[in-house]
Amino acid sequence: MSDLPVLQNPYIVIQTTQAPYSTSDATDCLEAALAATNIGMQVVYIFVGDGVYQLLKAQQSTLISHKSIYKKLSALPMFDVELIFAQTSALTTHHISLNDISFAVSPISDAQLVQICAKATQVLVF
Amino acid sequence: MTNTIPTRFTLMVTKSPFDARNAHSALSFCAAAIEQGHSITQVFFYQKGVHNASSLLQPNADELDVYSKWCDLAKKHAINLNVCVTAASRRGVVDVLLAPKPIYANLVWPFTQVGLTAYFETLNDNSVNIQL
Repeated sequence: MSDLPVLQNPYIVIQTTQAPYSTSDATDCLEAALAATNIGMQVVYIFVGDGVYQLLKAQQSTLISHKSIYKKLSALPMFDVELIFAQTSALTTHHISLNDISFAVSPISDAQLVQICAKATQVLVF
Repeated sequence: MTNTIPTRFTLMVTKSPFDARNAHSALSFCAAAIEQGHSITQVFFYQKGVHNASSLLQPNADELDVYSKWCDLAKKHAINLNVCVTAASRRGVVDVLLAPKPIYANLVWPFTQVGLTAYFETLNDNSVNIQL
């Protein structure tokens, strides 16, 4: 497990905890993160629980008439969301690997997740 | 009145009024916080929470009239009831500017349509955020 980056500036944590298409939570979460960075907030974006399903690259969302959440997520760094993590325990239980993901996502342990949230100015969970 | 340091709270309500207890809990929280000398900077309605802002809600007689409760709270304590414009218009909760005809508007004062950034600007203002 890699060390956590040192987060010096105040930051908010946004946790995305739901699978991509069964509810609007994943999209709403993404929109919230973009709005926060829009006013200069530093956002730490974390995939937790079923939220790691959003990281499956081989999503064929057009089959359900939906835009791909994966494509939107891969644009996060372009919108200044560069601190992106995924809960290792969820990646393991959901059999998802970070290897073929096209944007930088770092695995974090449950303990590190708690640590990051504890130091955040705000934590939002979707 | 208890002896506590006054705190400014921002609430984010994300569930519709009759599918979950969240709106009830939010109303109770606001009342308790104000009673104890704290203040509510804004209540922000996001996701399905925007249904709280519909003036067309018609609860059964034995159910809590959530819409009226929000209106009473806002008027009595000058609380901003902000509704995410994108989430609301998606769900057919629209003000007079967005409604196809003015008579179809179901989002009226004391509810106001704002962007998500307005919510985060308030968070920047050292408010404590409660998400429900």
